[in-house]
Amino acid sequence: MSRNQITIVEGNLSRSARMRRRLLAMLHYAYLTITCIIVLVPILWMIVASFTPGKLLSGVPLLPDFRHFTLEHYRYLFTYSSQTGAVISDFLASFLRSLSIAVVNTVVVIVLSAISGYVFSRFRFRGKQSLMVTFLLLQMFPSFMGMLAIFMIFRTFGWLNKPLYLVFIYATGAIPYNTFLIRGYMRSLPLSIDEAAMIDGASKLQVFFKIILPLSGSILGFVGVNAFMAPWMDYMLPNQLLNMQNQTVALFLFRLTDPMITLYYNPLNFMAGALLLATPITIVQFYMQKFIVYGMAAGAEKG
Amino acid sequence: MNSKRPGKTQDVAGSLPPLVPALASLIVPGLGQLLNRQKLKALLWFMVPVLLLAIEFSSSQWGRYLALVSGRVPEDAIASTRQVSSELNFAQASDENVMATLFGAPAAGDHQEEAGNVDPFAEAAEVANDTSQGSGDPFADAGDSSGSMGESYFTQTYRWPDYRTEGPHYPMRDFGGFFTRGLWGLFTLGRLRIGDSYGGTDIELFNKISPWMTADNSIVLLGNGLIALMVLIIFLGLWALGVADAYGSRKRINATGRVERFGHFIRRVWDSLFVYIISAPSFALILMFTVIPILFTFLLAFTDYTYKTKLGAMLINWVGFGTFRYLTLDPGWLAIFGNIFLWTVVWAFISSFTVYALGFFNAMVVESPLVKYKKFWRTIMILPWAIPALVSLMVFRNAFDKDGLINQFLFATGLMEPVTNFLYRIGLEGQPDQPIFWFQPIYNGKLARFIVVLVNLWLGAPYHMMMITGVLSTIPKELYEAAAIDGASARQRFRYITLPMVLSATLPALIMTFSFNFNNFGAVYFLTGGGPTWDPSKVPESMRILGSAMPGQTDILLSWIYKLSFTKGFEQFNVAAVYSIIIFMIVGAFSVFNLLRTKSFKEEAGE
Repeated sequence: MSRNQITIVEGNLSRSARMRRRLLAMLHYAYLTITCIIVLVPILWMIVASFTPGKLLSGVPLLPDFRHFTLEHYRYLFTYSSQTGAVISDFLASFLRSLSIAVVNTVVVIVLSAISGYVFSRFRFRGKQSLMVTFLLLQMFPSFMGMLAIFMIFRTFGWLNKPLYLVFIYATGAIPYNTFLIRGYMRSLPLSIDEAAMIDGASKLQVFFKIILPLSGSILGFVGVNAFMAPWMDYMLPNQLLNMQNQTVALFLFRLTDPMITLYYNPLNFMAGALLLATPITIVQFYMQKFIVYGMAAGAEKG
Repeated sequence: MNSKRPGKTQDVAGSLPPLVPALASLIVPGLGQLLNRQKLKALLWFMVPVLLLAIEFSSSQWGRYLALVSGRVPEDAIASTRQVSSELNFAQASDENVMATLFGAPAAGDHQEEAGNVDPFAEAAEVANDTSQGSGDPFADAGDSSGSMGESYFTQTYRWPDYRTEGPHYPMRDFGGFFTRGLWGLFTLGRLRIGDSYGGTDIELFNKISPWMTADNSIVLLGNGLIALMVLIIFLGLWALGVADAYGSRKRINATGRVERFGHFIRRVWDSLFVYIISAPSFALILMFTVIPILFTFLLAFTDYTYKTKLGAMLINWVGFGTFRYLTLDPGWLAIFGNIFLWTVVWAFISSFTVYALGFFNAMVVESPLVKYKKFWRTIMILPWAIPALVSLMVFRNAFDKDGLINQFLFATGLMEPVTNFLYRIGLEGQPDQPIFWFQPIYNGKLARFIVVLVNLWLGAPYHMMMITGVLSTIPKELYEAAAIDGASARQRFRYITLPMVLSATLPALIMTFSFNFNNFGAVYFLTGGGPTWDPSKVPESMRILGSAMPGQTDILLSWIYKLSFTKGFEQFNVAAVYSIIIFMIVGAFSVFNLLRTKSFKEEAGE
């Protein structure tokens, strides 16, 4: 609905109708307020819990209690190390591992999906259509159902307990859909640019690197953000392929809430850790919202 | 390189039926090309069998096999005679090769001692058990443990299997290379367990010096066999391409009387294969980390691999459709599967629908002209989307804990009693407990399911809100104006303009949400862990073996598969594989259907 339309309607509003409008507006605000409270309460609870001393959830007050304010959970995260002689704490080490995975994954996914997106958008070759469908179909197979085989492959090549090699699996999982997205985007770029460049003597690879790629910034941004975000919170693969000494941050956080793992168990430490981790991720998500909304629209339209 | 000189090519390109070089290429790759006077190409294709054989022979011990069958192996290097003869020699100390005897004897003694003192079966089972529980290694591979080698590690020498003994012998297993051993393993899944007597000696857990004495690990054999088969298929594909090329080239030569130059050929190949070449890394990754795991899972469905199979001490067998038959004929399993499947479908429908509806509603409210500060509201409302789902789920898991936020809040506000009574009266709760056990006891199954849907709503609605807000902004304002002038009420405008436009724009996304929720492992696993468990008295007898891999009341198919594959001590890999295939077929069919009816695919098909 638009402002124009309101003026049309508002022109001949009676007194009671105006009252009804105001009531309606109040209902809207009431609904929004309640929704926002529901959204915010768990988050606020998490924040309060992260500053509560002890290790019991039952000790977390409903309202912030500043007399018992503590930073012990944050201190724990930044100082506690289960290994003797380790330079950085378990939390920071696992964070850095996840960060390195995310960065490498972003690069690999962008490069590979841009190339295959280009191929699928610009070339005609036999079996193109069915290949794309096969790609997307294969992606539907959740990666942990093939876990035994992935474990085998990792063991054969000696990649177990080496976090960076997880990128292979993350990238493989991300390529098909991203290829599909990028292909959809590149198809909207006019073919005449390619042809003009080819006439000027550019090779296919030159066309790709110098013309198509710079024009696809927004969709590649979306793909990149997604690729950067995906590995952070994956639990399954690292749980099977990495040991405690090489855990990722998601594993570390999960272990903080697992009563079976007495080495780490403390739900309040988890709250602090989750807050520390979620804040930058949330900020990045918000900052990249433009890309993401764009990509979602592209996915919804073309996908 | 006379083919490069056009003057000469005319002369040499005689006429030949194209089938001749094709046949030649079939027998020896490259031979057909040679008949076509394309030497470099011939060399290229000749590399196919050369490489194939190089891989096979470099990884095999066929040389030793030949030595064995031709009888060139010294008697005391053969396994069965070694122990006896070396002991004899040691006693007499008259053998020429004293050093070898000295070093060989302790090895043999060691071996005997080991076999005598320890029950190899029990040991292997123990080792298998230990590793699989300790490190999460479902293979418990014999190769990882070097314990059984003991002191003799540095002094052992290779021993040949004794093929004169009775019983079957497996030269492909004992001496085969990458392809032969791989295929043997794929077809047989291993034949020899620890303690089996074979080739004149007992099979050990691991023997690095004489690999044939190592017990077969069926899972490793299956994996290696699969990889070998894939590589073989690629090689055979190249071989076939060579045949096709020989046939095609000869046909062209016959027609034009000219032989294509190698440079030309390369350029032509680069042009026509450009797409495949530059996307080769993606293909390779997908082949390795998607196709092979899928095939592996498919193959597992036809085996009898469960937690009972202690690798090394036991072998996996091919059972054909046995697992399928068992799962469909056993009423207990069928009932549980039906239950879980039904809940999965219901869950997928309800969760997708609620999330979509609430997202829609929120978007309509925020975008309503009555609301100011839209950006502020929107920012807060999409917060759950921006927070990583794993974190939110675990926070909720804690919030619904016995001591968690929700119960504390209910107690503090005095709402505990009315709420728990209300939940009891509407049947969600089995007993009016205070505090409420949201996820635990058997009688709260419905409550747990309800909470999972609610939490999923919190997590999922913002995404749909964002999407639908985007769609709303694309609806032309003129439509609403025209409708208002025609006297359409707000409800009618929504019913006839907003709803159809939004629905048609977001239908593919809605279908995607459905298939996402069908496999929404996280929402179940991290929130409830699948619990509450079912009433044990209602669990069919045949399901008791599942132990802690039993599904709970909120478990969907995928989270149950996870339990079946990764519950330590209760793994049912074959069942998990069968169910994986079922899920894959359902979700796959659904997605392909969704994909094929999208605009961009239809466009392309019409191109």
